[in-house]
Amino acid sequence: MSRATKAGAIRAILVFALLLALPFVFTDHWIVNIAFFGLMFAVLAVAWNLIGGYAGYIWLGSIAFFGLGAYALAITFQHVPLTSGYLPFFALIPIGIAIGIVSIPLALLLLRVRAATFAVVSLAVLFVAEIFAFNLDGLTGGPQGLGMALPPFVVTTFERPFYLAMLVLLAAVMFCSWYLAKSKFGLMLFAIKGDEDRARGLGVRTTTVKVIAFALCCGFTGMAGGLWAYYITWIYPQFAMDPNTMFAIILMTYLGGKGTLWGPVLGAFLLAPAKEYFAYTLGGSAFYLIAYAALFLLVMFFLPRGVVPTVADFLARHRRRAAVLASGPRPAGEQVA
Amino acid sequence: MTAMLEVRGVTKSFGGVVAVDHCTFSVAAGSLTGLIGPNGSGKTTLFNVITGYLPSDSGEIRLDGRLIRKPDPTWLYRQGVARTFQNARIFPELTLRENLALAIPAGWRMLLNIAISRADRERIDEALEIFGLSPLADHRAGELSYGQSRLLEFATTLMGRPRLVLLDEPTAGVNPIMIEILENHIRRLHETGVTVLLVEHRLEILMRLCETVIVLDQGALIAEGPPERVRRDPKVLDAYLGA
Amino acid sequence: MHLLIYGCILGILLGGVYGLMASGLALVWGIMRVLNIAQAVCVILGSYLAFTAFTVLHVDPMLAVLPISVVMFVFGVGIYYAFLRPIRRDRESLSILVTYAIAIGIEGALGLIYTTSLQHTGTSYATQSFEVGGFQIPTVELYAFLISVAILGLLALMLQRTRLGRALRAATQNPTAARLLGVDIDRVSAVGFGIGISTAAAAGAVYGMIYSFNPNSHYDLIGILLAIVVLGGFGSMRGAIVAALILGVIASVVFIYWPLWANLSFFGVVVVVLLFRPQGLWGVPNWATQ
Repeated sequence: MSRATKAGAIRAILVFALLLALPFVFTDHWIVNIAFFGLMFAVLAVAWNLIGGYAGYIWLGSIAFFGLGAYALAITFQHVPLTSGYLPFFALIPIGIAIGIVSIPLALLLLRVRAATFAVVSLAVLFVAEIFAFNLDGLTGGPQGLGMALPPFVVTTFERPFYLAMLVLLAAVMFCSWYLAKSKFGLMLFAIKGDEDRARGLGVRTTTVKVIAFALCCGFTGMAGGLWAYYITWIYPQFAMDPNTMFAIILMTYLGGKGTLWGPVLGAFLLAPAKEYFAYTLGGSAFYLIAYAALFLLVMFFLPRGVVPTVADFLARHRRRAAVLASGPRPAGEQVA
Repeated sequence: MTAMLEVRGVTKSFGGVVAVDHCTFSVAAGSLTGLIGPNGSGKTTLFNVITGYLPSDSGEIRLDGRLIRKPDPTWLYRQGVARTFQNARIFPELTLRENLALAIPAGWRMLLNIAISRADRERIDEALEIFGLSPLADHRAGELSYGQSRLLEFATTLMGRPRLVLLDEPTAGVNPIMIEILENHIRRLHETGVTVLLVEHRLEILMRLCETVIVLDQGALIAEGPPERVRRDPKVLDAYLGA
Repeated sequence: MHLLIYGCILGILLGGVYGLMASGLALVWGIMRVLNIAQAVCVILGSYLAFTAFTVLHVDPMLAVLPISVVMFVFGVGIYYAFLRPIRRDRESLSILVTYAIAIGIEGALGLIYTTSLQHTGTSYATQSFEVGGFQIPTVELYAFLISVAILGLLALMLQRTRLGRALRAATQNPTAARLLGVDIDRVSAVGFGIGISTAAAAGAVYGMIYSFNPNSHYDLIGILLAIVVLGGFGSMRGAIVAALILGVIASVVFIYWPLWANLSFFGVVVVVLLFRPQGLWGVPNWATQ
């Protein structure tokens, strides 16, 4: 194991140990509630980063799969009595896999176009999903929403099982993201972001690569949606598939650093609590939207690359300067041309 | 000698402009063929059609005598047809090693394999050594000079062990020393038995390198043959001097 | 059959208004590769301006179109200089996110001023209609269509005949060559964006007479506009107008038979486009050369 991977492993263990300890140290409902949403957005942002950050495709329909997962779980357990309450957690796994598979034909269709056209048609996915959620009221309850039985957990630590389940999901999606970034597959995703046509000319099966990343993103997003539905027990189309949530995920990824492993997590932990806090104090009001817009623009203009790459660059430059001072003149190889 | 690549009656137009006009020629297996023509004579378009980056309007392309109905860059690369681009397309965000690793064809195990497997690593190091890029192996490709990125692009196209390499103006915008380095690499590639089709708009480079030269003008083939003869061809002189 | 023809007539009338909204979107994309998600909210902004002019100043929305266009042109130029010009890298993707933020900012501001309840510019002729060959044609929809067509005509004339129009077209076709010919791309982009926004607002002024709206309405509208641009081909104004008419007709006909699913028809068309002609009717294929 190289020094870099060892440092990475220690960092990961430390972060997850702290996250694991959180609900046992702070037992206030509001803290665990906000932490739950922090984790949920971290899962969503890391999943989005697979296609949006690694492959550079602005995928604006991700939240439709969040809603799909939410409805899948809610509809499945609508009439099933919850004896212990843990069954839905396990049901998330087949739901995630099913959603991943369902997303493949859609991916094949959407990925026929690129860049801005892709962004536009992917936004259409979100609108279509919303129309279905509203109109198929036999299945989704329409605008009245869909309710599940209240989970039979102890009131004093009600949020804890959900929090821990979301933490497991975050660990899974992080592992996936880390492994892909290290694999040949990840290299191909980065190449697609850099210059997709050149990658095609070098034998990279770009469609296959993109579809797999897309399906993984949708699967994890759907699982997060299912867990969210179980937690809040009553879902409405406009909350399950909210365009604002979609862009919040993207904002978090950009803020932390798109295309990096920890960036989306960092962005989610920074913004999700702020989002919950402002939604609580300002309501869904106009002020909330204005504050959100302002924050969005600030991040886009002043931190377009995100926190993680900016800090990493700063450190690398610092380190390189130290190395140059120590080693003297440049190595001969740099003067070939 | 058998033909590695045959182009028959290929036509491509953009709107009303005919970029390639019923172009027919063939490239013999193991040869080093030059494709020449003034700027805007359709050389790059022809390359794009052959390598599947552009659909042709009509005509057919054969590889080893086999008709290729719908050329696709990925498929062609895996069949041993690799190309470079006029403006040296590399991946600036990736390191040199990663650039090269990417070009090694991968199957389904790409999901499980780490980015640069041990077997690949040896081949990559060898390529870096041959092209004199070893000291920069772990630098980002974006840090390279233009000439170096040309070398890297050239090295990348060889990672798939191609049988046919199409080079699009490999020496454009490069200093004379680098031109010589690149020429040597092209010659060496040819000597290992790889078929090379080279696009150039400067005659003197083709004169030094090629056995056969094909001349295009305004999308149509106007001459074909050994460089010495082609140079004296009146139609070629016309096209170049603009009579 | 009668219903079907009626749907087609209403669809064409509505399609003209959508065409005006979407042509601005296509123009802006053509000039500067910016996909303006805020286009729809600017339509709604135009609706509110006309609504205010009507309720406070008692000015007919059709007369208010001109001053609203002028004001929104300036607003658009301002937005360009403040938020779009600074985007240097990766403009195609980043502009989507930036204009989205602008859109929700405007939505929030509208919510503050007008609250989120539904409004409607109820002119005296809003409920009138007249009969042509057995079809009841609503007066406002006809007026809205005629105004949209008139503005589009003016725009086409401007693009064909004036110096500015030539500069705009040159910038659309080949920015690099245009720059070499002495076109100030930056200023042309600002003007183009201003025009895009002002057409949106002008369409909005008449849109508010046909439909009820609130600050949130732009979500429905942007989906429609984007579907139009996808069908017409990015950056093609002609494509946008034709696509708007086609989609207007399809949606109106679907509305007659299955009212709930009318909006879905827009996206159904997008699916068909993706399958058979990803570049849209007048778009350029996404082939990479060089």
